[in-house]
Amino acid sequence: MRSPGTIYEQTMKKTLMWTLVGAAFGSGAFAQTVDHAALEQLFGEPVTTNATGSPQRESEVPASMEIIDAEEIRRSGARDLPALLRHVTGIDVLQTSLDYADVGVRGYNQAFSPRLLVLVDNRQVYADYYGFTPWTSIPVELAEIRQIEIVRGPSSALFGFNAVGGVINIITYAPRDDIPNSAAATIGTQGLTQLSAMTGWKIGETAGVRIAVGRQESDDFSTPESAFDVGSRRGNHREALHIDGGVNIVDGVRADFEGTYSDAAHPERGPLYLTDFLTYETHSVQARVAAETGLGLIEGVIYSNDIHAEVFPDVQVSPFLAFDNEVTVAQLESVSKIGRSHTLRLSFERRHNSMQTTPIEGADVFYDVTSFGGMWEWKITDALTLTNALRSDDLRLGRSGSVPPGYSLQNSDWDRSIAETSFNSGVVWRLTDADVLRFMVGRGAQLPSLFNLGGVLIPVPPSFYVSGSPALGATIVTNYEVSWSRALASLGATLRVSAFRGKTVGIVATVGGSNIAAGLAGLPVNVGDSRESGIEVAIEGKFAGGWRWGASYSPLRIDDDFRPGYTVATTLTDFEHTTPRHTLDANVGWARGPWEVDAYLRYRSSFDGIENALGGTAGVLLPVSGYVSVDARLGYRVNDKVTLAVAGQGLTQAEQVQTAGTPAVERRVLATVQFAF
Amino acid sequence: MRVLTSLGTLCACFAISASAFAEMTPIDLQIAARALSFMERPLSGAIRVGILYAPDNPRSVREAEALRDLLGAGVKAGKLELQPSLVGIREAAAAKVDLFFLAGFVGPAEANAAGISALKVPCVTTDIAQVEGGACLMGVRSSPKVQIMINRAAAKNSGITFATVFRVMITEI
Repeated sequence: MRSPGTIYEQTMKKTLMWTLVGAAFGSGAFAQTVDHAALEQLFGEPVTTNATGSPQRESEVPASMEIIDAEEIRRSGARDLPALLRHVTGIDVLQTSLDYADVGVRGYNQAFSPRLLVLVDNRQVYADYYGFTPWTSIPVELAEIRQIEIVRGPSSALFGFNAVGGVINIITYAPRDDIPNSAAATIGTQGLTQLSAMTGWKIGETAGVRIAVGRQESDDFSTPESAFDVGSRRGNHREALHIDGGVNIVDGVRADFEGTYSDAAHPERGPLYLTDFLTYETHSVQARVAAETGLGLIEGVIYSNDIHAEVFPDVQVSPFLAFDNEVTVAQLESVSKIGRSHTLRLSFERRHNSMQTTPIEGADVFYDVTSFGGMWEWKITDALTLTNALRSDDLRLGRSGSVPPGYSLQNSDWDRSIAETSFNSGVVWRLTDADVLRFMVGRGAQLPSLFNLGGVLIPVPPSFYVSGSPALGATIVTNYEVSWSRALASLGATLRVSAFRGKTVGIVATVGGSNIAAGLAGLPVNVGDSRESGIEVAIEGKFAGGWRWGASYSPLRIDDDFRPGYTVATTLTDFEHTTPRHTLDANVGWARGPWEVDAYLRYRSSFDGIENALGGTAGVLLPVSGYVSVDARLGYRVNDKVTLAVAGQGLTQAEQVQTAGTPAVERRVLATVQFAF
Repeated sequence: MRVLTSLGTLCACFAISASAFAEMTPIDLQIAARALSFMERPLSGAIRVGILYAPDNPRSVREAEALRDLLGAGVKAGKLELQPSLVGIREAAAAKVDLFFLAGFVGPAEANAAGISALKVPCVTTDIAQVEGGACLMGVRSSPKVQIMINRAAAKNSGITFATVFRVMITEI
């Protein structure tokens, strides 16, 4: 047997080698290589690389995608990303504290929801040790976002593990862009103070740098909380820094660099459906080189993320946990056009992910993933395009370091591999100038998190351990979808109708298993399968006189098929009853002269929420009544440099129950002054 | 798949034949200028634009003059400042210009005879048939949606290459 140290050293050497290979060849996933501004101006619509890895117009992607542009972000009145996303059809937001929300796509939303892949300029920004997204730790200011690209359904053939429910890719202004220098100050209810600023410099014709900073302080909601959660409100704060630079080295060769930092703290509901106070500190560095070659566009990217999170115990039973998670990713990919009708994308990725065990330290759980992928787009005619994407991921799991006394697992139990293949296929058929049909099918794999693979190791005297399990399998998600979109010229509107059906196999519950003979309790376990089917009908448009409007209806049904004994009472996992059957969204906006008024309404039908029953690992379902929430913003442009705005969320009621087991959500009102310079 | 191909071809034919030619509009001009910025050796600054027309065809003359009037003494489009002059199709080889706009109502045979692509000067038109016939490098159309077509043979003859991110988003023939 290899020693833990040897395994770790070899792992790091391999990662470094692959990293150097990647760096030598060039760049990554084209998010910043593609000049979004120039292409959007050329084609008159947003351009994305988020559907196939190759640049495409929004109207031509073989995916269920929605793009939110900078203007929509500004007029949303949102001060954070979840508040913005709650207005998007198919997005489900469960707000469990002022600064924490779980975001799901087409249901399957749960505490620490791990099915959503969140990226900033194609760099992953979710907390990889569990797969969830602490939104305030994302080091991006709303003002520096060019567009947010939302893909509904699995996209693992492009992004790999974990892009099974959907992908949110936040695209910021590139340093080469004309950066809209800005600063904003916000005060609001819950004691909120928020400052944000962004500026950029162009250095000659070939280089540029952009810096964005943000800081905020607030209290949390003051609505009554569970007895298990008392003590989780210790004052919220967030600081973030984002530096991005780029230079054209020679004609056709471009290099970009990025560094980020964030520090955030707030209460949040964890996977045991208990609310704790958490702090996050994150750092990242990234380098990217892209070259136009005779073989097409080749890009290489290398980046490293580290996140340190601490869970502070309340009066509840939670122990003090500290998560140290490092992810290093090297990517190499190319996009080329073959002949007149074929686009080919080839990709290679090497990833190393590790976390220190907690609260018992002295060991690391880690894995390395080697991935190869390809995408072939065949433009059969001007009206008909077929896209196929395929990706294989080969994961090698390991553990190094000490094994505590009485722990029945040995490091060798982690010596295993997981190999999965993902695919996405889509047909885009432009029936007429106004009508587009899409047929899509996808298969994605959700990897068990390092947390569930053994990163958590809690001693339970006299002789038990609450532990992760190295034997967990991946969760497989398949999705079939057909959609029709039609431009309604007479209304100045676009209608989209989608129907989808999906299946999830091998759902992981963080607790629910045990091996009493081996002294292991609270084991994560693959509890069974689940099916979903749904429809989305969405229409949006503009009227003369500065009006814009939109509405959507999204019925969704989920049927769980868990193995006997695995109920919400034993696993804290349920999707069938915790997903609202009906969601309605509507928005209207008006702008004239210096005035802007926007309002957003969401209705969610009644559902059951999960509440932790005893402060341990048992859960119960509690009914949550259907509710309507309204967000709005009123803006006034004083002059070209100064804009004043008042915005609010949850305006219809002073407080509103939106989940089970967490405090009611309070009305929030914000006043902002924004400077452009 | 054969069925899909056939149906798709029907749709494509319908789309092209519905508006194979349209007079160049200010929006078309902007699109053309922005598209040219994706050349691997892009034009920049003040550009001499030769508006090619058929002197024997009054409709072609009228359209060329309308395009010249549209450009006036020089108009900014993208990063270019377009400075127009009229060039008879048979005088193309002698023209000292950086860019050709091919007006409508120029006969295909006449356009091909001019050998525009061999002149190493990019040619843009809204007359898609001239691109399909190989006489002109690039066709642009702004309505009902932006469409750009490149003739690969003309590009090769002209020695003009475009960035990959642009090529994968347009139609090449």
